[in-house]
Amino acid sequence: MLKEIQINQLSKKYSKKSPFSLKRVHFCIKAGTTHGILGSNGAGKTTLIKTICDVIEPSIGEVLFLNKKNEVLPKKNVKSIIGYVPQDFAFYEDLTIWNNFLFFGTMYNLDKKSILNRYEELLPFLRLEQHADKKIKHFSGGMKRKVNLALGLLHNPEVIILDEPTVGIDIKSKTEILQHLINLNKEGKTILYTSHQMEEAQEFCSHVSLFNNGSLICTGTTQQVLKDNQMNDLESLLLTI
Amino acid sequence: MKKLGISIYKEVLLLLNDKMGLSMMFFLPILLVIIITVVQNSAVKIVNENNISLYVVDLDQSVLSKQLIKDVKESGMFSIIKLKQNSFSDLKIKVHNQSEVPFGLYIPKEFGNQTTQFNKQKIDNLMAELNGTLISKELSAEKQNNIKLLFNPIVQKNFYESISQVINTLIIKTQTKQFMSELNSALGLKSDVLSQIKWNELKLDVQISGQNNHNNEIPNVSQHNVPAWSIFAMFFMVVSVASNFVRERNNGSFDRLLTMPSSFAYVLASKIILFCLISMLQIGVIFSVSQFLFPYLSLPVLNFPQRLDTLFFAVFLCGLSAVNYSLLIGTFSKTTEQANGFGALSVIIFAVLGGIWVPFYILPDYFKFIGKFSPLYWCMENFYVIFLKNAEWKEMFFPILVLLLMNISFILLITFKLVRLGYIKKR
Repeated sequence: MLKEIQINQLSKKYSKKSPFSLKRVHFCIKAGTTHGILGSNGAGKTTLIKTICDVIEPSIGEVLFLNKKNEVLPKKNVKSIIGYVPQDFAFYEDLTIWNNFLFFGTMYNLDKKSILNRYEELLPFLRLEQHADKKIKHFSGGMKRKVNLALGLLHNPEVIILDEPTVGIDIKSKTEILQHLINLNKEGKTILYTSHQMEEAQEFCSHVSLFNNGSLICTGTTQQVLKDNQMNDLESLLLTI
Repeated sequence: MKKLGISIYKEVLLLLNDKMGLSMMFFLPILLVIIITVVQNSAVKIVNENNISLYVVDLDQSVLSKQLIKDVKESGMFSIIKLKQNSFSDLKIKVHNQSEVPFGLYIPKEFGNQTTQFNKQKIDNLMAELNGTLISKELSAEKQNNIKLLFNPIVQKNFYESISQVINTLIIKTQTKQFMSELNSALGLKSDVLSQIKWNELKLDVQISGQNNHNNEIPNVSQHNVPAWSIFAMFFMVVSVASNFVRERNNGSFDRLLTMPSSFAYVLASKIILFCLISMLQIGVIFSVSQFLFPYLSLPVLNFPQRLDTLFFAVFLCGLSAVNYSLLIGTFSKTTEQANGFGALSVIIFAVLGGIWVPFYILPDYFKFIGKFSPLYWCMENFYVIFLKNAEWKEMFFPILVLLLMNISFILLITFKLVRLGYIKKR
């Protein structure tokens, strides 16, 4: 069982000439929380998320996943407990939902039976039962967003890491996705998500970390962050940064 | 193995959905091979089977001019269209306006008389020299009313030069025959023995090179074209493979895979295995078409070598090179447009430099040097050994070695780039 994710003095530079995308970021994400990584465009949210997921290597620093015994989990084990939902539709639109499930599920080391079980569990959330045989490219943006999320949840991960999961979709789909995430959090899952939609984040997140130009500005529970900065809402706080 | 299997299955499904990619891999190459073989076969037929149309205007109507026309006809290269009472300027316009008949032969009045006079003069000179009497002046060649060969400007230089050489030889043959006849009379020989002499003791014996080449059959156009354009077709898979690779990378599918307890090697291995098999299937389909469909199109069938092991290995190596090259383009391209554009264009350039489009031996030296960096050239070298030579392993050794080295370089470059992009971890 996960206790926390420690982000230790994390810095990232994509090339020698480019500026730091992350600058000595240091904070902790408690297990079982809904933690928002917030900031405007170019704040370093996606870079941080990708570094946590081991998609990109940090230039300096490290990300440690600690279990209840305060032991650092090896990277191999970390991959089995995290579910990554990228901002883009990271799947094969020319295939059906089932074929995407089958491919990514096998890559998560799941057998066909487990994949089928998860498919049957997640299909009602997707509300795509009648479209199950269709190729994903024929789906709406909201449907695709849900498929993107479902693929990250395939192996029933302890930590769900989402990069702008509600961007560019209608209010109905957005509500359904957020409700599903709330339910997952109630089941004990840790949810780490990025957004630049402050109103949504304030409602959804128990904890937030605010970023600007790759630097961590503040972190803590949502209420504490607002209180410390004497603000009523995150949007106003972000505007003052 | 399960992960590799599912990755291959995914690639198969993606390929089956890519109708354009499939048509580029199978339908278009077949069409290309048929068209090119038909065109080249026609070119061969033009030269060998009376197919060069030639207007002939014979204003002379002498025995000599008729003999010349007969010789031209019997050369087997020309299909003669006789025009009656056309002036030289009429013929010029006619040849210029009709590209179907690109040549015109104009035999002026007095050609026969002048040639006879010319020959007589030569014989008189010869006889005078033999008799030790004074040598009279030679007839000036400028006074000769020359035969004219006209050609349409659409005819390429090397072609009209070959044709003019053939006509010239036939004119000399006619003149010589007449000369011999005149000499016969001058020597007072009763029968026309001199002009009856056959000059066929020394013949040109045409043979195919190679120490152990027992089969002296001249290769047909299919032997050249089918393997060459099959190689081109295999490498043209770059458009489909490279753009799909870029699409997968750009839509984040590869990023998603990185967060899974899996290796990126499955992605690469599945693509290499599947597309290698696809390229072998391509060859199988194209070769089958050349076996079973070509006879219905009056095209020569592709003759297979006796040693099929060399063919199988050469096809495999060619397919592997095509896949690795495609993945290299996909790895280094940032957008699908880049992959499609650069991929297609580079294959066309490599095909030209590698001797696929035109024979390698006609390229200028500096192109020959550059052409040796084309993987298509080395694939073609292997196919030359298989289809035109003896299909011996030892003859294929060097091209195989170079292709293996090229494949190793491609894989190293792909790995280097994927490490830089973070898809393959250094640790």
